[in-house]
Amino acid sequence: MHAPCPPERRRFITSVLVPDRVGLLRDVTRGVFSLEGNIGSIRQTVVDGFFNLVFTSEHPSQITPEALRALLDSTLESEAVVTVLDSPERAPATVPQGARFVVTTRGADKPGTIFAITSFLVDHNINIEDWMVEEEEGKVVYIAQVAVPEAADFRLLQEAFRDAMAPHGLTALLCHENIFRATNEIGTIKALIEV
Amino acid sequence: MLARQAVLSTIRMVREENLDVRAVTLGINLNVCANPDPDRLVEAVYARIVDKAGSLVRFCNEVSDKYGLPIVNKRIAVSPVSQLLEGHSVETAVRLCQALDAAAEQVKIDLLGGFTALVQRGITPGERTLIESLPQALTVTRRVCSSFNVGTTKAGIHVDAVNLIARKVIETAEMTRASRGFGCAKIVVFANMPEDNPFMAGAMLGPGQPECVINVGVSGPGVVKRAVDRLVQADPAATLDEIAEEIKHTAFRVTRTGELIGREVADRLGIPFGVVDLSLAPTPRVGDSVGEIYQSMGVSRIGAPGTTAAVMLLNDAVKKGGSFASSAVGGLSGAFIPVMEDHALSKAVAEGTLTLEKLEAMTAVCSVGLDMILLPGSTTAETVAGIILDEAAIGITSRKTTGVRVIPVPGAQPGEFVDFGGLFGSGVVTQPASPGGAEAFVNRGGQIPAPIHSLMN
Repeated sequence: MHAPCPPERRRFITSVLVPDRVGLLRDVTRGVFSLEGNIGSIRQTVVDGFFNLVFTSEHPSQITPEALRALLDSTLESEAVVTVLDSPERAPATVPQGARFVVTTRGADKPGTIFAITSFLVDHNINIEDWMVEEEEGKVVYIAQVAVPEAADFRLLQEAFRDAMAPHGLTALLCHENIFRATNEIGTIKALIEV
Repeated sequence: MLARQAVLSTIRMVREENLDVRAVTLGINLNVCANPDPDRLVEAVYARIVDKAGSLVRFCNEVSDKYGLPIVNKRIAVSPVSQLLEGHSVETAVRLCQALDAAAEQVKIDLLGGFTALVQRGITPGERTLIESLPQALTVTRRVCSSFNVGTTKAGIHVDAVNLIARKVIETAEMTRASRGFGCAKIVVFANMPEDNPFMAGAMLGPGQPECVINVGVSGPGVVKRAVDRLVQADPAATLDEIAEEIKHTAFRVTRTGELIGREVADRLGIPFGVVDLSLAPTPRVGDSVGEIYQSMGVSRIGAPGTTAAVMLLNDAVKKGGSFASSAVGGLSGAFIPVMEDHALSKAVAEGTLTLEKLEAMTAVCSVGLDMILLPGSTTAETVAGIILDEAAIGITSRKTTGVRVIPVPGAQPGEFVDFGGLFGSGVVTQPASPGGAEAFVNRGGQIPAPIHSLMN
């Protein structure tokens, strides 16, 4: 999280969903700049040809969320879906912190798979921080970066996850992220463990 | 977010390609236990091992659960036990071996190494006591492994020690006749023995090592084989340097896994991390074979001309990948050729395409030596000594580690099948093209001098 917003400024969190094309980020940031905004955190993805952007911005206190939304609506295509909210000073306390793990499942593409996975994670108080999907040899592989409560029994969790996913025809694995970083990054292992 | 290919490739290694941590080995220095009173000596050794290793298995399991990666073996390597036996009897040596065995059982590990003597230049009374006790000690225990260093590039080869140990190998085979000479599967004779090898039967905590230390042995022949298969499938015209590069990259990742696991276990135990030994150590399981890697490279009949070059390529690429992955690479780190423990190598010996002489040539370029080889029951001590001398000569001249672990099977003839089960595997009895003929040479004894290039100063 950034430093608290000064009283003369106002922070928004904005999401933009629009068919992808060249120049979208420029158009959005031009609009933010025109309202004297300064972008803080920003993340974009493209899924099946749709551009999705989430960012925070600080503006003079007289600028409203409605003003920013109206500006972006006028700048972007008619299909664009823009949402602007006042950003809270602190992140919601209900999001659990924990050890960073990677959840993977592999199986046939069929409805209900993601619901099954996410239900399991919620039941174990595991927060999803990121999610992606890959296709491999005709199978769908879901990869989620999650936060597992530190007090969790990893062995029981592994077994429970495997058992829970098996009826859905999924092979499932839950591994601490360090193993992926160790095998794919250049850097000392010691530094990895000490982080 | 982690790159998706990074996740997928690692998951593939764990799930499908038999990536595991083959051994987490806790080294424990026992010298503090030295005592002229046999009872106190034995008690102190037992207590020290149980104290230091009591949490080893638990912490290994915790780390294994955290990463979803099997740690196949949890083991212990002690400082050379011969150092505790100065002034003691053979009977005490056997009792000490039993104490080691009991301690290993208590802390729930499967093998303990370090019933060891370093005799490359001479034999002290304590070392002689250990050697003399060997047949009985290994007959009455299950988990203890024994090793000897009979030569170094600096010292040459102690032929008297070789002869003495060779006789004990024959005696051990005879005393474990009921298990087809299995006692010899727990004896390995080295030249240039490493001080930090986590793999059995040659693991021991060498001089100059910390009081306690964690050394890790990773393996991954299945991972390497799959990597080569994928490369060759995508590009059937792949050249050997391209294959070497692929092996190197894979070795990098396997080594990193081992160091990660090892450091975490060491942290939990509150002791230093030592080395990761990246040795492609096969198991009898299909898909976990070093021989299969050679076949994937194009050596369809292991033992054919070109096999030694394939071993050299693999060994070298593994070392290069491993050394880039970690500054803490040690032990043997390369490619093993344990015949009984590798189904493809075992099959090649059974079919006659892989001979003992070819294996000897391969040891010049691999990371260990003649390993887990069944010999006829009629094998003489002189023949065993000659085999050890040949391997030691390769080792001290090439400035590398070489070793011999041969099993004369009482009553067995060449071609006979023997199955030890589990990780020790199975195989067919083989023999040198000329089993005898050098007895007079071997029996001269003495010391083969160090090679000229040992004069480095």
